[in-house]
Amino acid sequence: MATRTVEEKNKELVVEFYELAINQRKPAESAAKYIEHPYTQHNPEVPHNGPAGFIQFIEAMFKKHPGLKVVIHKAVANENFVALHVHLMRDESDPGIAVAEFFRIENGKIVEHWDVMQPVPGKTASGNSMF
Amino acid sequence: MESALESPFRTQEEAMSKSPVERALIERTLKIIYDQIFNGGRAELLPTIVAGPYIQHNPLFPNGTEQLVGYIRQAKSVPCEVKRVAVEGDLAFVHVRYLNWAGKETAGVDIFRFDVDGKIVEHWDVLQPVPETANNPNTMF
Repeated sequence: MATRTVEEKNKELVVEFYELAINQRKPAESAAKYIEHPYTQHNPEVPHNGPAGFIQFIEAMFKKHPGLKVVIHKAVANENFVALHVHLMRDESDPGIAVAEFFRIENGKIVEHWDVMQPVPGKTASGNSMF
Repeated sequence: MESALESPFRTQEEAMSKSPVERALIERTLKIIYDQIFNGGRAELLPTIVAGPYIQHNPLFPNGTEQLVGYIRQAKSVPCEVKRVAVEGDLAFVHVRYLNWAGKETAGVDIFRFDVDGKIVEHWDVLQPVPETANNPNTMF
């Protein structure tokens, strides 16, 4: 097997970060392991930059939506960016939210984050899902 | 964690064997979409960079290029700025600032899948209107 490239390692790291923080309900542990300052935060709802803002935001989401989970549909790594296409569901019956994420990685840690979110509609013009 | 994942760990080898599309071809197609078709309003170029039925996952558009071409023609152009791009194998994620999407500044990520010639076969997107204010000092871009 070929040696893993930095890009492959970055992708694994982001997927592990995401799984541990959200599906395994350990945002503080995940932040400590995978996030580094300044963790510049471009999601307008998150209260501030840095790991603390991320933890605070995710924990508030768990309080509001105890059944919250995410399914990663696509992940690509390119240079120091990793991008994900994600289906976030707040509970079993939730049609959910489509999310696209960009993370910037430096020296094996996530240092910057952007995302966009859009509610998944009940019907689409093509009949295809948003994923 | 495997249950929550489809296949984010596609290896370089798998990506290459599935589609050996060259990065330069993808970049050329992206330049045509954002520079010429969206910003330049040259809607007629869209069918030239698409292969097959154009599988569409944007919930408001059907498969195919016809309705999208009509939308761009009616709008004259779709002003936008490409902020960052991530390409791996046959997929590209493009983070875009749409200056006036349905009347609002909108943050978007377009995801495209390409064939070996760098033509688009499938498109997904996520679009979020940029809010007036943010809880942190940064923009969405």
